[in-house]
Amino acid sequence: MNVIEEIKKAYELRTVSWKQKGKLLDTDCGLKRVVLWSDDNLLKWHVKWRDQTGRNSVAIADRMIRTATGHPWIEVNGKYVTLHDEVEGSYDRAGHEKAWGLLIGTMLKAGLEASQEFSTLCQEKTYSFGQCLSAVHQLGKQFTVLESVKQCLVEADKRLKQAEEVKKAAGECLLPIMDQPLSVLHGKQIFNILFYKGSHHEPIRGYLPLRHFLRDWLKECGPHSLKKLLHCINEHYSLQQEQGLLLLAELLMPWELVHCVEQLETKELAHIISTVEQFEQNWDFNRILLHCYSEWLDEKRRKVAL
Amino acid sequence: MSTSSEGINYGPVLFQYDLYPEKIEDHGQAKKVMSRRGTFALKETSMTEEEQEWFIHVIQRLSELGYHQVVPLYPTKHGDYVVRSGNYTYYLMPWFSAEPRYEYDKDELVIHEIGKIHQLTLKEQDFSQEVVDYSFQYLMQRWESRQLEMERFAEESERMTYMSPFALTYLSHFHQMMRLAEDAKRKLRDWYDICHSEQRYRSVLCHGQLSSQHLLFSHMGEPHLLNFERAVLDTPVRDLAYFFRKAVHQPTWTRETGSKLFELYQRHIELSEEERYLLVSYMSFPEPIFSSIEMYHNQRGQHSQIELVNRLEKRISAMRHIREFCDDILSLPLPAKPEDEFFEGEKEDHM
Repeated sequence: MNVIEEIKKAYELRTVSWKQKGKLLDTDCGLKRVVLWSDDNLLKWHVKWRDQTGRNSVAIADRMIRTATGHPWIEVNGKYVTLHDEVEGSYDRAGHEKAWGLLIGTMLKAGLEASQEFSTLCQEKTYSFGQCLSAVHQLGKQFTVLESVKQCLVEADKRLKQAEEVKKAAGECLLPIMDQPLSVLHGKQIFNILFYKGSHHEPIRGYLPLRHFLRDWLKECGPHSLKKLLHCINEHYSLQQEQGLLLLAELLMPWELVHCVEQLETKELAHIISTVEQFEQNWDFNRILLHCYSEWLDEKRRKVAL
Repeated sequence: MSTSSEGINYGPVLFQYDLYPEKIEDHGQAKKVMSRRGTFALKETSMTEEEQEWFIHVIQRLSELGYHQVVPLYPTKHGDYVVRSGNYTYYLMPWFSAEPRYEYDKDELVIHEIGKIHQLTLKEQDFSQEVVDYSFQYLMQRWESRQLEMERFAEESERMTYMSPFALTYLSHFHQMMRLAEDAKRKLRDWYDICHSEQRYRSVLCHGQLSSQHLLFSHMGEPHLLNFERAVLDTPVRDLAYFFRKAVHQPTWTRETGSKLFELYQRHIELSEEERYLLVSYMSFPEPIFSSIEMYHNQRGQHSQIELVNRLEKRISAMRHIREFCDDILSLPLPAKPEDEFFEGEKEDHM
């Protein structure tokens, strides 16, 4: 079957031609992106979170365009095909915390609601401090450059234990599932709308994608804007109770160490040096992020107490 | 009159429909959107999320019931029927501006269409003493407080050394209005008593804002109702009272017009005795006069005395039309009761 003909028929488009074969279509309704899916459960998750994140005119996810009969996808040659808007201009970060807060807040809300329904889809990242420790000690014998990584081990262990304690304090509650990666670079702009381009990957359970997002935001926009963003997220998804503690636990987790150890497997000196530099930078930024987030949580608590 | 709608950014809303307008004209709450893909009506309104859901449900339910004379809603490219932007809710429809296909009066078509909707959605409700008691007491209290306000305004006006033209006009019709109010309350009591004895109450899907302004003609000249934003499940009397109260203001209105429209409606649903009393009570209470006084109090600076007096006189004259029309409603024969039909059949057999 000819994909382009099927799309034209199902979406009742008047003119359709490839702008970039297999990826971008030029239609009478504007530029449309074509995405192919093989797993229908994964596709259903992506339809769900995007739909729930798109019911406003301020910040929306790139939802699946409906066919003439109202279906979010078509089946062609055993694959599922979805159609999306293609938007190019990037959306600003600092000064636009409200729109980003709405986007992330509604994404988290959708992720929490769908947490059980799509639990089998999720990737779980496990943390083994023991493995990190032995890898760093072994590599440290060969490369002196790993000294800064070694110095962080005590603090990493402490943070890991603190994270476990915070998780315990939060109790047994569900974690949201999230699209990954969650990146500021995926925010596009059209008619002043924040248009977020989602991935077609499996979701991840927990706040790791949000942690990366907040760290990037901090790097680019600074602590004041980060707090404003947290405040805006909190308007749509409460971070003041258990979920806020679970995010705190995620920020405490020394993931930088795992990432660094994974990268060190290549054993090429140039690569090792840049990995360590990246580690040092991320370690420092994560400290600031943790500090900003704890400060924001305290401010919120103080306001409630007053 | 339409004006070009400049300065308002409808881009984020129209993007949801993949519409890139060449021109947008302002027609009050409706915006006429002209684009390469056709001409559309974009309605701007205020609705809560719950109201939005109900509104969409109403349109879909009518279609499921086989009623297709509703101006259709176009879904966005993502399948939603409404778009929320800022404090407003928007929905898109085709732009209907054709002339009627048949030579019917517009009011007759409205009554015919609402009759069909009421007939399709008619439901005998389980009689609830509590609901009827509450409705009766609520309305009675509301009307009594309105009456009190009207009496207060009459006393104030009488105390004035120099009476305003508005106060003078009001005072000269005051007793007549009070009689109407008392009559409305009596009829409400009649409705309540019959409801009690018959233990019955029925509901339909009411349009909520029924008027000839909410009827448009498709390109084929077929009549279509629109604006179901205030649709509600209630007594059929709700729509009829709203409609007739507006209709009597038209210069072409006559007593015969009213009877004809009422009979036309009764071809779809015959109102029971208590429903007729309720309709008469709703219509006869001088609510429009009360609103004129409120307007006089609150917006005196915005309108001239002559405007306010004209408005009041028009409403008083409309109340007179309503009075005559109410007499006609009550004088029409009541629908046959099941036992009457039984005996009628017997008579025929004997004949």
